[in-house]
Amino acid sequence: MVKYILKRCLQALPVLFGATFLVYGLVFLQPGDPIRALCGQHCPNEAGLDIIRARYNLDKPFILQYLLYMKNLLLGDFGTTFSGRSVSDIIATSMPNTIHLGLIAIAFEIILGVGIGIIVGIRRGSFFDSSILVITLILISIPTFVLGFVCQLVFGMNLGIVPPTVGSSTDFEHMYMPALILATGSIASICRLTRNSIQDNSYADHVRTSYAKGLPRYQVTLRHIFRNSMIPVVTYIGADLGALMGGAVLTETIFNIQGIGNQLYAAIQRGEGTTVVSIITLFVIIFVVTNIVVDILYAVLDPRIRYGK
Amino acid sequence: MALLEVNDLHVTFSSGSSKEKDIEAVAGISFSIEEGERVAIVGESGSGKSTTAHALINLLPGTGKITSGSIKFNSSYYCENGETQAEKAFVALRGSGIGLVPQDPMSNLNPVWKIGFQVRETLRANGFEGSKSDVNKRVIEVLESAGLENAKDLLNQFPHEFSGGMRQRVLIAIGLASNPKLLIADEPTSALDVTVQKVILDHLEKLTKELGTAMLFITHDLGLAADRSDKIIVMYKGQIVESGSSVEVLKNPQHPYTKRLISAAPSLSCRRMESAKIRKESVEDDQSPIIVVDSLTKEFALRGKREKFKAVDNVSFTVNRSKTLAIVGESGSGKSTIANMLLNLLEPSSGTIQFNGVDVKEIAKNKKTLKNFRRLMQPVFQNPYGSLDPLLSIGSAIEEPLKIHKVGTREERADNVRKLLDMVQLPENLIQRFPSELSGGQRQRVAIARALALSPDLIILDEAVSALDVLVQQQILTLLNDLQAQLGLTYLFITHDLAVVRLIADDVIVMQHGKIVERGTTDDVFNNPTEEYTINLLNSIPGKDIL
Repeated sequence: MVKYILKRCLQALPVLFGATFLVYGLVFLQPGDPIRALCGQHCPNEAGLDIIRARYNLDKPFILQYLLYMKNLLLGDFGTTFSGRSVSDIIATSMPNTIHLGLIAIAFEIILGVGIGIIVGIRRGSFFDSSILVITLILISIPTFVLGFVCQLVFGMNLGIVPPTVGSSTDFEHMYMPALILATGSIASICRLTRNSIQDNSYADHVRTSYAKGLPRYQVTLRHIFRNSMIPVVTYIGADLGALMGGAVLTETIFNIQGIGNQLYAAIQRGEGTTVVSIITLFVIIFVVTNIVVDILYAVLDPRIRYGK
Repeated sequence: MALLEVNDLHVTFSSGSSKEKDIEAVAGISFSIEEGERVAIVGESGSGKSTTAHALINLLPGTGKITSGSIKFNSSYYCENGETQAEKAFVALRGSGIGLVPQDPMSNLNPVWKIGFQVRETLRANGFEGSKSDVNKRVIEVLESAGLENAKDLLNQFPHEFSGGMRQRVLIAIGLASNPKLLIADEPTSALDVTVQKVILDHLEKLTKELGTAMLFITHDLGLAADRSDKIIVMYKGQIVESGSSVEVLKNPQHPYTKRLISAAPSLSCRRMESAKIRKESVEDDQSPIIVVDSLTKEFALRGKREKFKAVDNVSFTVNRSKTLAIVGESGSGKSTIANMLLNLLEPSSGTIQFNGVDVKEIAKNKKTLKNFRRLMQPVFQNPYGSLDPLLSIGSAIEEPLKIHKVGTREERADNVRKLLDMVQLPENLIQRFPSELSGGQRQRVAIARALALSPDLIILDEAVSALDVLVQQQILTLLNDLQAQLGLTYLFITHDLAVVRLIADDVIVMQHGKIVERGTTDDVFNNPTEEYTINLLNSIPGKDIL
């Protein structure tokens, strides 16, 4: 097992380098001069701009810029923004908000997605089952930004039920609507996955054998249908963490949450290569780590899978 | 008074739509089982035998429902005039009243729970009181009585760590754990090798005799039924067509279906099939062997282990032209690996294969000669459900090899497909149909037609009739035999079923653990087996004394 985890970590290295290199290249290719844009209309002399460029290594060729950046990154230095703030400081202040948002979203996924999925899985073919199938299909097809803006307008502005933006207050009351919107697509997918998984398992031979053993229905359902059905669902929820990160960029921008996604969006607009790449690197690390955790979890749930043997 | 009385039982599967008719799987059957009696229900797939078993414990799959009739067990009605008791009554009945040993040991244990847990919950569900260590003691007891040694060490293992035979023993232990009065054994060994089958059935017999358990044995194998039960019930299309004592039914069958079943059942006393058609071999003088295999070995690397696994170990044999060579052995004996190497789908670790006097290794070096080689050697595989592409119509499936080898024009190919269908005795109107609309036997005929499309010299039949019911099996064997006589085909027939070998093979090779343990002409091997393993195999065949 340890050997397997080590192997997976090593495999993550090329992913890390590849992803950072790509993102760095994309930011570099962005048209316009970020330093000039920084000063706006009152531009100082060219010599002054050059000094700033030199400080951010922007005067050097692309490859060298990237290598210098990676060197600092490996030493634990995420670099500084054009305004002189250290990127690690930005991450430290904005990350908790994103984690908070993500945790609420995952809680919704589990409670609503798995919960409703189980109910319709058991009562397959009912009216409730069919309606859930239609509703989830609609939810999967609505893009987050449409749903976000519509909900903000209707529930936040017109009806005034929920605060329309989050801003600096990050309590549950402010956060639950953005989190719900962030989780919507996943809730629908998880709901369908759970439903299908439960239905498939209900017809398994060993389930019939469990009934034949004399087990009452609730025991068969709990021990022999649920447990087996949760294997693909858990895997999906784990892998979905990465998608949540991406979705957070949109949700945080719409609802003005001071999270990492919002910072990433701002940094892209400012053309701040170092900040963008640092945040993306963080995303990649989180993605790789959650994937390893999911694989381990998978082996715990399903004894047939034993890695590295 | 009888332990189980079934009276005029009807079971219907509703189609769910008004357009299609409901299917009556069991159409009014009545039978009874006395305490300690052993009754077998025999029939082919779809005859309603498993449905009957499931109806007894109210576990009918899908839309199945008892529509009328009654079931009386241990003097109380569980179903009266089509009205079944509440689920609660059946929960109490299952396990402690009627136990079940299901068909497929691979899919009937939950893969995520430990063996110990799965036996333990059976005991608890049937009212076993007592401390944790008491339960565990009893779990070990029932596992050991089912023939699993050192059961104590097995408690914490998962089903996938067990072989099929061991899993079936666990299922037997579960079925008998709460001392039921009646045990339903639904094809309990059809997924296992004959020698394992014999050991397990012997054990089951001994156990139920000791406990005085009555047994309802469901099987498609008449020989097995005769061996293992006092009374036989023959089912056909949802009805009982004949019943009586085992010897009586076999020796003196009354119903035409039973007669057909008995005459179709391959047994060791049968002879090699004689074809109505005149054999072509007299015309062809070419007596050189078509395949010469010399010290063939295949090793597989095992994960995490230094030494390699020898699937095929230094095997040499020849296949004579226009004859049938059978390779017999249990699962894991390496027979399918040989087939794959002959087809050049697997590369031998060492040794040579000569086809028509040319080394296959040389043939494989050149793409063109390899393609031509493939044309001369065609396979037919075991599972007729898996070997046809569900998205290709029957016509396209048979035409595909012709297309690949660019044989003929479009019209010629269509013509050829019709001829091939005719050759395997299938109606022409199947061309537009899809595999899912065909029965297992029909699909296997399609697979044979596809193999014949390129008029090969050699056909490798890998367990090609093992998945079929006896009557269908006999038809396919007759067809193969006729085709051989007609076209001068050579067959390499791979099977675990010795009785089938007797019908179709000229020469036999018996394999065990990757080695050839015995070889000779079919008559020699069957009449005078010399190796202990072969004798053992022959003795394990069910019904050999009666049929």
